[in-house]
Amino acid sequence: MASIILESVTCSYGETPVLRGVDLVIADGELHTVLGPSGCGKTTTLRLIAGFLRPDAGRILVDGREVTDLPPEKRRMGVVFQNYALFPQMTVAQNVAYGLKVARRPKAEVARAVGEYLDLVGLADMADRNAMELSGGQQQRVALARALAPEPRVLLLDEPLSNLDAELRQRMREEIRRIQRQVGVTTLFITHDQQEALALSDTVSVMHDGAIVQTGSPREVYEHPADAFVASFTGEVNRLRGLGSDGADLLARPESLRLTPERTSRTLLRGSVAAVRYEGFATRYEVAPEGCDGAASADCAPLSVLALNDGRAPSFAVGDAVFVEQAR
Amino acid sequence: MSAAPASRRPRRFRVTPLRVAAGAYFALVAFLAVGYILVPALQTAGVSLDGQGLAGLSVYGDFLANPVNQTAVLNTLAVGAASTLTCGVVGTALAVYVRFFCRRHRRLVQILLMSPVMIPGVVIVVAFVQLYGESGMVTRALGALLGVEGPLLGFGGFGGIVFVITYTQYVYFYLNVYTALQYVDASVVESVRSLGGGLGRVVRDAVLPVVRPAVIVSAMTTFVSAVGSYSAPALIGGTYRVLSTQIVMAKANYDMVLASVEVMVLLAIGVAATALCSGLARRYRTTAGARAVYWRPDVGRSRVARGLFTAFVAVQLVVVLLPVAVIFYLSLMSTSSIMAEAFPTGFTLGNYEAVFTNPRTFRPLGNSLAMALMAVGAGLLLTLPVAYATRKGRSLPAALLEGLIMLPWCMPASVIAIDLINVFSAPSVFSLGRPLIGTFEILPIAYAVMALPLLLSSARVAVGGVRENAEEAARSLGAGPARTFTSVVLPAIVPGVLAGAILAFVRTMGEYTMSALLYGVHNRPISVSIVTTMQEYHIGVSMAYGALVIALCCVLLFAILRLDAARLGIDEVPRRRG
Repeated sequence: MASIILESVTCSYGETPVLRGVDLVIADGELHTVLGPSGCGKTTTLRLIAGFLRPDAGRILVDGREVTDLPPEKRRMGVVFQNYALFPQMTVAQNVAYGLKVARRPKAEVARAVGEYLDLVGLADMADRNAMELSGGQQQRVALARALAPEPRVLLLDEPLSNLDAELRQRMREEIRRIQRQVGVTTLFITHDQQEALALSDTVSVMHDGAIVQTGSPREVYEHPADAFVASFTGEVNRLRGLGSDGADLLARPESLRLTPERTSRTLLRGSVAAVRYEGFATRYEVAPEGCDGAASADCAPLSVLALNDGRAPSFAVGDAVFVEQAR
Repeated sequence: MSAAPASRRPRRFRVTPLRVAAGAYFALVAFLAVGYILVPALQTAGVSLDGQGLAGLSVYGDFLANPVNQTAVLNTLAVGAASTLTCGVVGTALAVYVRFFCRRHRRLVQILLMSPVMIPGVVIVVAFVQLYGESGMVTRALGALLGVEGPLLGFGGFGGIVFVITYTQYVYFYLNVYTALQYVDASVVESVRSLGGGLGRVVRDAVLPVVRPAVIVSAMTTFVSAVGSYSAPALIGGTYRVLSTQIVMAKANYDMVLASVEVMVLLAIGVAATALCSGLARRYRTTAGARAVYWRPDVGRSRVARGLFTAFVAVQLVVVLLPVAVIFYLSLMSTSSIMAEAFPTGFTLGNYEAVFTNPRTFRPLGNSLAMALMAVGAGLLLTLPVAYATRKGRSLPAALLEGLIMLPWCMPASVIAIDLINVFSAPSVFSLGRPLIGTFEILPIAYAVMALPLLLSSARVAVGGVRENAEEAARSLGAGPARTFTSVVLPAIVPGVLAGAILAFVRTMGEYTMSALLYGVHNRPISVSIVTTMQEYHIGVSMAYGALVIALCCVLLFAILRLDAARLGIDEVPRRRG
């Protein structure tokens, strides 16, 4: 197991800068997610850590030792690729055994480890199948077992779930979390899916435009976003002009706002219900702020408010005058 | 733009043994490519100017003013255009049949239709002569049947040349159009229909855009191949002059200036056609939709269409396969019987005995096997590492090197041969200071030059097929560059590379044009012997040579089918399904 530190790492493809100074600390044994939109540099970050790319400047340290110029085969990092990258000419077992054979482990140990890791990912009965015959989700598991079998210091997952359908994605997410806990390996998980990042991680780093903009626990990042980008990328958010502390904008999640029929001490603004949408577990209201009849300025964007259908919240109809307050 | 790198890490460049070896290797490839492709081409341009610099351009004026040469140029263009047209019609019709109408024995039909790729053209030409020539079997049979004295079929001249070229070259159109038809997107077809379009609209708006690039590329390949073809005009053209026969005649008369001028004109025709078609292909380039689905219309239900098509294809198959059957048949007949009887019946194994027991008669076969192996081996050594090194984009020098290696693609065989003669009949730095013409090496070298583009492109395709990230996965699992190459890259590319090598080997075995221009006492190849033994009336031996070459090619064809059936268009391309 190991910790990873990136110190002001920059990287460019030709003349195009991709990373503009990334600082990142991944603690020993944690599952750390880098979350960001496509093109923000998150895959480049993973490839730098794996050793497939060299940074233009900056250092990469594993357990305090610099690895910046080490070739990938000397770094002992397991990588799971978005497209799995299984070796097509090998069976499932041969794929999983590959790293162990390269490390010249004794045959008995290879066989034991292959069995153990195929068990871990639930594919023990598929060992002799050709890797390409498996379904996407099964290939994903083989890729995971292959990366883990040589007991890497770090596990790197590059959008591993993006090629799976929604239901399978949810299941594999749980699976990865379970396996990571069980093995205890330091893991870097790259994704553009905020739900995935929040549900899975010990720590989330949000990346934007080639730099890390916020690192923290999922709750910190979601509830106290460092800026408007983090707020909007980690979930839906309302921007209330000048209502924050010191006259700054207030960023509020739809579920953190509440509608009341009367003004209270916590009321932020007054408005009228423009639309009501029933969503099963909750009801979504769109509230037009007062004094904004048809005006299209940013200040007048309708607010989105989510009320849980738990029988306690009052319900409103289109046209009702309401007051908006913060629930917490 | 905040943290612009203040001090850029100088990318450390360490001198490793691997890097030194790679540098030396690429320098060698570049040296050879310049010496055996570029310099000879430039030398020919120089020779064609008769040593007078730009003033020598008048040579071209004189050349084109001569009516004999005008005829040769026009005939060449006519043969090119007519063959392209007939190949287009035959190849496209066959592709449509196999794609939409062929139900039973489809794989067999596909293999048989592809056989001309694997059977050397000169063998087919010789067989056509035995079938339709003045004393050919079909000619004599028709004569006997109708009681007519003298040759009945006017096989030869323009018509004969175009006929032979059609049945040896239609495979480009057949294969490309067949492959393209697989990419017609059923959902586009359905969109056209649901928007009210009939069959005409479907063909125009859904099929044609996908097939057109294939037609253009096939037309280019066929045209370049047809204007450069030598064996058909030489063996059955009679007095019909084309540039390639004129080139060989000029060389035989030691008029290298004339030969070079003719080569330059032929090359100009080839390059102009290539440029025109590349431009057209770029203009009509298409890309498949995100989720393309097979289009398999049920047109096969129309009995009339199906019957007509089946009859047409049956005739095609007979025309394609009859020469092969005739060669095997005649190879078992004594020469005297072949000469005397309309249907020879003098069975003998003497022809094969002559080939295998008489060292003089066996030598051409041994020579060709050795030279083809040498040429393909050298070609692989020169192209595979280049394709691998440039798999992730190429630098300018690498692109230039690849361009140089691909150059022989638009050079007819006679052009390559005359180029080499112009440089290597005298000592040259590229041959370590000794002349090569008249030596054994010159033919394997010429064969290798001709095979380079095919080998490089098949190596590129094979390397491109290595799974994305598979190499990185191996590296991250601890394998170094060498182990990654042998355990991940090599197993993935061997089938494709081998299939390309086999194709190049077969083409080399049957290569006739360069062989005729460059062979000497040390390296007489089998293609030359097939023709000379026939002309010397050892027809039985000639047929035995042909039969042996065809047998070898058939064995290799099946090897390709096992390795890489998609290359012959026989397996469906793997497709995403909606």
